[in-house]
Amino acid sequence: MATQRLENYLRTHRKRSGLTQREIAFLLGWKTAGSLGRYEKRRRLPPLKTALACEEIFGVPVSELFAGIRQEVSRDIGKRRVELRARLQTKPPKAHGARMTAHKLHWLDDRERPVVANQNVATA
Amino acid sequence: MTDQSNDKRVLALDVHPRSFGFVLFEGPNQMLDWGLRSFRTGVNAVKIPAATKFLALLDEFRPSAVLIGERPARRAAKQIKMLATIKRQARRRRIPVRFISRRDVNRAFVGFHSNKYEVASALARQFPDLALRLPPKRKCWETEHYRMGIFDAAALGVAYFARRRTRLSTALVDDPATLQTRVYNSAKKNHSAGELEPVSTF
Repeated sequence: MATQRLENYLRTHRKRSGLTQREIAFLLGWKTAGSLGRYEKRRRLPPLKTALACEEIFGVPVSELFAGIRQEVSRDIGKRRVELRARLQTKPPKAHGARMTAHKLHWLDDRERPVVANQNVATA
Repeated sequence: MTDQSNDKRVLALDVHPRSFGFVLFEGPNQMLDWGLRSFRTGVNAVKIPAATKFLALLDEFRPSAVLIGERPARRAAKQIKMLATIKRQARRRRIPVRFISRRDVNRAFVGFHSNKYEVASALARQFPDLALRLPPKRKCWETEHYRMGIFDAAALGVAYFARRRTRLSTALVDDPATLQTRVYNSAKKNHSAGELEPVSTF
């Protein structure tokens, strides 16, 4: 079984960079480093703007920086996707809505397949 | 496909009478955090007790195991107390405590076991993040550098994963016939020692 990942890896990436909390706070345009400490210790969740700023600073995607949250969200969405598919399948389709439902189910099926980076597409 | 069986998050500790070094690993190749926590007393006493500092690490990282180095029987009283605290707090949070012997560390660093500095240098090469923290080579009249605790803790982590990998590969390599022979021989050995009946499970 895979280990539950940490909520965020801000501290790891900051330490790798060798920068102090104050220096990162300066890059983020803050006067103090208190908030950064709270984010690193996972006591507070940073706003989207700060998360994107961290991505820019460390050069690591937000989904990697906040891997634990990403994992949790992915699991929840997966469960709800299955539930939605079941709902769509049980719902009696109306005449004009049948095609739409089929399209939705197809789209949900596509989303369930894992996305592989740099996937080589076989050419005929 | 990544090997997820070996990507456990473990907290390696090197406990000294006045401080402890820690390194948090997620799998054998990734270090998440590292540092030192001091709990000295006296004039420059640290206000936060050692147990609180250790608990903060456990709560923050939620490791699946805590690694401690096995040391010779002679230890400082403070060190014994600290180790007891660590064991107690880890047990309370249902986190297993694993002891890594000096021999395991030496096995993980074949050819580097002549002194601590060589092991630390090897670690600094393996994990470039630690290179900046590598203390200067100790002169024979100097005491051990404060930061050496980080490298000792890192060595424990590397030894733990090396031991784990060996066990996993041994388990994978074993075919049923070899396993049967091994179990039978072990049972026979126990029987000759007067412990158990040799049991054939196959």
